Amino acid sequence: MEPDSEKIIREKINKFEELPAHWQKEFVWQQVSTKAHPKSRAVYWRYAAVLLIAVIVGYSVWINLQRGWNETASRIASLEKQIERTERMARKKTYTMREEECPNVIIAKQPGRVRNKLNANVKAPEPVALADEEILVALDKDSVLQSTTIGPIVLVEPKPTKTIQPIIGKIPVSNQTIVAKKGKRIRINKDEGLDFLSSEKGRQGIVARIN
Amino acid sequence: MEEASLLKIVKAGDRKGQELVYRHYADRMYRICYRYIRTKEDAEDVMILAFTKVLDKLKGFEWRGEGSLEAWVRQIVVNESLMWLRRRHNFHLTEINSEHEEEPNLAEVSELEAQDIYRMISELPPGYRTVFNLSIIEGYSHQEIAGMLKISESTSRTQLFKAKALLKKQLTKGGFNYGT
Repeated sequence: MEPDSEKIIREKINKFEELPAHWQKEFVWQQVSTKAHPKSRAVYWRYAAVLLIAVIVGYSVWINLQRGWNETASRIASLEKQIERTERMARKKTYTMREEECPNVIIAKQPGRVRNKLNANVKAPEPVALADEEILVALDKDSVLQSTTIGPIVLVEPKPTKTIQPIIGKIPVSNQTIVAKKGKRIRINKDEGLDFLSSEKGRQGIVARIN
Repeated sequence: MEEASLLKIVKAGDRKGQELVYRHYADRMYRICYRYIRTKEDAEDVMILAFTKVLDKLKGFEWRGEGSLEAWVRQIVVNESLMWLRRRHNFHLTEINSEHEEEPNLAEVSELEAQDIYRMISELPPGYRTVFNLSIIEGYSHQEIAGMLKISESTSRTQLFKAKALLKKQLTKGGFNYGT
């Protein structure tokens, strides 16, 4: 059975609820009459929160993409630079291969006549890869600038030539005992029994190498 | 205005009739709604939903004597309030009652002014408040409350027990004294 106190409470509350209240009665009626279904105010906050999250996520994605693009762009730029450098070097190489290898020194061609003035005993310089009639001379930087105007210097492989020396005399049989090591030069004077041809009478001796 | 004449205007299809129904019950229904919801703005939102439903179904309402229209409107308002609460509050969360505890007596509470009782009920936690409102003010049984809130009967009982105990405690704490 229901206690009296509960019944009293119910009656009191029901009576109290008949009293007019302060609230947005007109606004609610407007909404009801236009059949505008209300959206809780909390919904607007939720929309705002979702919008904010979307903006943050979008911004972070955009930042990441931007960073990625920048990285890619810089990589492409460096690659382009590298390609350009390589192309430039390749273009250079066709003209100044020698300068690249020894920038301070250039090996230039000299006429063969210079060689004639040199003593035949002087050993040929090491990087010889030129023809018989050529000699290599090292020039300084300034000369290089001048020499580059001449044109490309081409490495010439020495042609194996067998020069036939003219007979200038003969060694008599009595002197054929001359002993020399192979490849070594020997000098034979006129008074050692060399018979020069009449055209070579003025000669005092010869320098020869036993092959 | 009596319900019968109100309904006559409504049935005539006059828009004025709908407004009359709204104005006749609005204040009372708002107070009921506020007793459940406890937030002014939310109670107004629930009122919009409830009265939209009332006006939609008003033509189909079958009158069964004086007071039946008000009871019908009240039921819609209470249902809408419960739907709103169910979306925001888990009524399953409740402590188990000790079997030996004595049922709190609300005799002292019933001696208070209606306004104070209303305020005290409004200040109860949502679970307690809802079950108290449904049981004590609306007069539903625990079985009905269990069905409405989708909870067990024992949960409903426990909530009501706790609500009563809390009201009594509030009374002691508040020191309500009107006479001496």
